[in-house]
Amino acid sequence: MSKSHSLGAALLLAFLGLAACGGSVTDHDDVKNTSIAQLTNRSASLALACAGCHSETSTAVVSLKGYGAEALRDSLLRYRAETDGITVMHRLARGYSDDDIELLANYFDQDKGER
Amino acid sequence: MTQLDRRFLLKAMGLGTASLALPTPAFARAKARIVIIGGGFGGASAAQTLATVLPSSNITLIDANATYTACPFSNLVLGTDRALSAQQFGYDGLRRLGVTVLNTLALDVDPVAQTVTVSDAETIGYDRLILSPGIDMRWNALEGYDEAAAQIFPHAWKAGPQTLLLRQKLDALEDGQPVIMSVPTAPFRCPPGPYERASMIAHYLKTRKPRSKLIVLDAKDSFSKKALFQEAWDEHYPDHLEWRGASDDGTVSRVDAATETIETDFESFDASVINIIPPQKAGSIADRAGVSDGTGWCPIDPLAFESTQQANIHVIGDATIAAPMPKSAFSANLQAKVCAMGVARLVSGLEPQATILSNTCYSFTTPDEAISIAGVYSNENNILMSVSEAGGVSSLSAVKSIRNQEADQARSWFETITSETFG
Ligand SMILES: Cc1cc2nc3c(=O)[nH]c(=O)nc-3n(C[C@H](O)[C@H](O)[C@H](O)COP(=O)(O)OP(=O)(O)OC[C@H]3O[C@@H](n4cnc5c(N)ncnc54)[C@H](O)[C@@H]3O)c2cc1C
Repeated sequence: MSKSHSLGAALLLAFLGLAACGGSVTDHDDVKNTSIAQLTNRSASLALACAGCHSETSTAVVSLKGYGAEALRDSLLRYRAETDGITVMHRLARGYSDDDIELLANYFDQDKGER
Repeated sequence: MTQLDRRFLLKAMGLGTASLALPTPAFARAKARIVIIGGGFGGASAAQTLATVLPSSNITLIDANATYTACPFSNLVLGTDRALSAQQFGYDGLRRLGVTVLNTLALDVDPVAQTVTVSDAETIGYDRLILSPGIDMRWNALEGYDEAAAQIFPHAWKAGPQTLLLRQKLDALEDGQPVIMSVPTAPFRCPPGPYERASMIAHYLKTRKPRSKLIVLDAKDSFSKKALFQEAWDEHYPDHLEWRGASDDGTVSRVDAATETIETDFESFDASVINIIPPQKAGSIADRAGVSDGTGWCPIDPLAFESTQQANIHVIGDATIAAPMPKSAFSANLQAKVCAMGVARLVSGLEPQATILSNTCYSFTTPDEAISIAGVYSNENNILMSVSEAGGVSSLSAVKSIRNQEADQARSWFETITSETFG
């Protein structure tokens, strides 16, 4: 995707005043800032940490693209619940609340079907 | 941020690719001038993220070098056949995103006029400045260790020529001669890094100079993942690695480049290969900008990593005081992204918001085995703190396949983080 595309999309979103899924939107009159609020909402900011290891091309680390909200939620909840789990994901999942797991699951679900 | 992540963001807003073809409504966006000093894991990641969330802003990235040489995995350049070129990345990906990249040294920052000086003739104005200058050595904090001494006793704690110099010295080592490494007290860049390096040098000796041995002189008694490293050393390098802590006369108190000797309180060593990891501080441009404090590091408000000492200047990465987050590439990259989102909000009249951050660092103990440490952090209420139930290190006495898996994950992490950072 080119820069102009992503810019166009962001502007379009702002123009139409679409609501994003998940996460709260700061109350602001300016449509432009509504779009920035969307792009930087809690879902998007939580997902930043995941992107350090998970990408479309990551190999030994699974790609989250098209994972599906349910599968991702179940997987994170399972990691968190397994008290004797020793993987990196077990250690990380223990730091996330139910609400944040829900936000992340929905955030990555938006990419479903693109591959 | 990769193209994929940009697509995530757009799709998360409910935009499919079809809608991208629709005409763009015309109205002005904030033309914020954002200058970033330092194009490493922190600075380059900040530029990537800003180009996405604030695409019409003017983003200028300043780095002294046209090619960045990454430190993670540079210990494998020392101990294995990994080439230094595998560590190197350019800035064309950022340029393609519309970021102005200047390969020059930032000489000064005027936090009042809000300008960065890049030459006698040129200053660049900013609305927000992001500093990710990494570390500088505290020359002479260890008696005798100055820039000239670093040519005799390489630190290799900034990857590049120093890494090659240390490797050349290892290659020239006569089998049977010792190798010495000196490790400082915390805080320093990459807490487990010296011990990964010790492992890689011991591996090198075991396979290429089997009669030689590495002696690690440490100014501390405990260190990151100590039990795990020591377990690996007992198994793999019983004859090739000896570690001495502070209470065992491990603290190096003086070095002498002229005679190629180094001293602890009670002993002196001369060896043809001596790796000094010296005490460190924030990159010196932080001092010029007035964002470092008496510790040599930079205090920040962790919500958007804004300096607590200067308005409109943000500091990320190794230069910050961000404990309990370690000084790692993972941390620098994530802090950059959180900071960029915060900056995008601030220049748009929105408050930065709290989030959950994390860190994962892998360390190789052999070329195909690794161990890890992970942490989860909250910046709620402007306090960076560990989420207590989370994080921790790999299990002791795990089977080899687990160590192999973590090595695979480490390699995957390096590919992902470098492509996310440099495009
Ligand atoms: C041996 C070793 C192994 C490591 N292994 C790992 C690992 O496995 N995992 C991990 O997460 N981390 C690891 N690290 C740590 C990691 O390298 C650092 O934490 C990371 O590079 C910090 O990023 P930064 O942006 O703060 O600084 P840097 O990446 O150092 O970037 C700073 C940049 O700023 C530029 N700069 C500074 N001042 C100026 C100026 N005045 N003008 C212009 N440019 C300037 C420099 O040229 C440099 O490119 C390791 C470090 C070492 C030494």
